[in-house]
Amino acid sequence: MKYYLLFPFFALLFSLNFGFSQCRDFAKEQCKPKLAGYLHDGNYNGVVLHQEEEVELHKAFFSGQKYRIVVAGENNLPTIHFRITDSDLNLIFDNEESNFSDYFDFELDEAKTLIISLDFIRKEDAQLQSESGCVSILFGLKL
Amino acid sequence: MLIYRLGSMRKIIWSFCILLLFNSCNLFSSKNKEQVSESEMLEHQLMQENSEKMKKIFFVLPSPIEISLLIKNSGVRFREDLMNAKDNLPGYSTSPSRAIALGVYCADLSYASLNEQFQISIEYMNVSRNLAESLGVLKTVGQDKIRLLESNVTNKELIIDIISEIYMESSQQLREQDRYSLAALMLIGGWVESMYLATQSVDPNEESHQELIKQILDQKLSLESIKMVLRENQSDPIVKPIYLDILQLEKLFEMSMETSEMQDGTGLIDSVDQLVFVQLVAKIGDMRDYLVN
Repeated sequence: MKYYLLFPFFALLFSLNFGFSQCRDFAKEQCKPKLAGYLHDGNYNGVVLHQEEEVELHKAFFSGQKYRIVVAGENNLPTIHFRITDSDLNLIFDNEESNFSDYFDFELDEAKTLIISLDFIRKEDAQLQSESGCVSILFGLKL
Repeated sequence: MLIYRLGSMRKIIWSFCILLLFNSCNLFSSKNKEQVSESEMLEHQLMQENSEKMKKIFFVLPSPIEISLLIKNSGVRFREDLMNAKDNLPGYSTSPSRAIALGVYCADLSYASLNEQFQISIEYMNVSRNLAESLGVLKTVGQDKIRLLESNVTNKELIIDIISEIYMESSQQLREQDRYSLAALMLIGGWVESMYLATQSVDPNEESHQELIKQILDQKLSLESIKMVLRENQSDPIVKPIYLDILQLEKLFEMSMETSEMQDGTGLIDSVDQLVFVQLVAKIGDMRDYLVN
C-alpha cells in the first residue's frame, strides 16, 4: 500500500477543516463585536464566498423584538453589498444607500420572513483583492 | 443553516460543452475578425449568465435564545417544572439522543437565564457543556469567559453570551465533522423544546396571554426553514418521523388562524381557533415527549 498517495487527501481534508474553523473564528472575533449592545442569538451563518457568487439567507423575524443584522467579510475582500427584502421582494434595506454600512437595526410591526442577499462590489483595482474569503451574517437581539 | 448550489455544476458543465463546441467550430471555419469577436462576445455572455446563477441559499431557524426572549417579554410566569430534568441525562447514551438533548437543554438554559434563574442556569450550562463534549464538540466556551462567570454568576448578558457560544460551536462543529443529521437534530431539539415551553406557559382563555399566543402562531413562518433542514436528512431513520410530525404541525398552524369580517363590515380580522390551538399544543407536547424520552 502506497500510503504517501493518501497525503493529498489528508492535506485537502485538513485545509477544508482549517477553512471552516478559520471562518468560525472570523465570525467570533471580527463580526460578533459589531453586535455591541445586542445579544448574539447563537446562529452561525458563515461561508467562504467567491467573487462570482451570491448568498441569500432566509429567516423569520418576529414583532416586538429589536434586531441587528451584521454582514461582514474579511479585510482583503471587496466591499459587500447587501439588501434585505420581505418574501414578496419588497425592499426593506439596501446598504448601498447607507454608505455600504455593515449592519442594520430594525423592529417589525408584524412577523415576516426576510431575505438577506449579498454579493461583492467589483472595483477596477480588483486584482489587489482576494478572489474568495470568509463572510459572516450574524443576528443580534436587544435584551 | 443549509446550502443549495442551484444546479451550478450541471450548468458549468453544459456551458463548458457549449463553449467547446463554439471553439471547435472556429477551428474548421475560415476565421475572420468579425466571427472571432462574435464568438468572444457569446463566450463572455455565457460566462456572465452562468456566474449570475451561482447562488448559495441558507435557511435559518430561530434560536432558543430568540424564542425564550419572546416568552420572557410576554410576561408569563417562569416554570421550572416544564424544563427537561437534569436527571434524564444518563439516559442519553447514543449520539442522536445526545444531539437532541443538547438542543433541548440549550433551550431550557436560555429560558432559565432570561428569567434570571442563575443557579438553575449554571447547572444546565454544565449539563450542556458535558453533552457537547460527549459528542466530540470541543472548546465550546473560552476559559476566560468561564473564569469571568465564576466571579459573577448573576451576569445575565454573560450567561446568554456563553449559551450562544455553546449553541453556535456545537451546531457548527458537528457540521464541520460531516455529522449533518446530528446538527439538524440538535437544532430541531432546541426549537421543539422552546415551543413546548411557550405553549405550556399559556392559557388560551387568559387575556394577558394573547400576545404570546400570537407569537407562538407566528412561528409558522419558521416551518419552511425547519422543513428544509429536515428534508436534507430525511434518509436518517430518526429524522424521518420528526419530519412527518412537522408536516402535521404545519396543517394545525394553518387551521389555527381564522379570518372573518369585522362586525361593522369595514375589513377582515384574524382570530385564533381555540380548539385547533389546543390540538397544536398537544401535538408539540407529543413531539417533545418523543424527543426527550
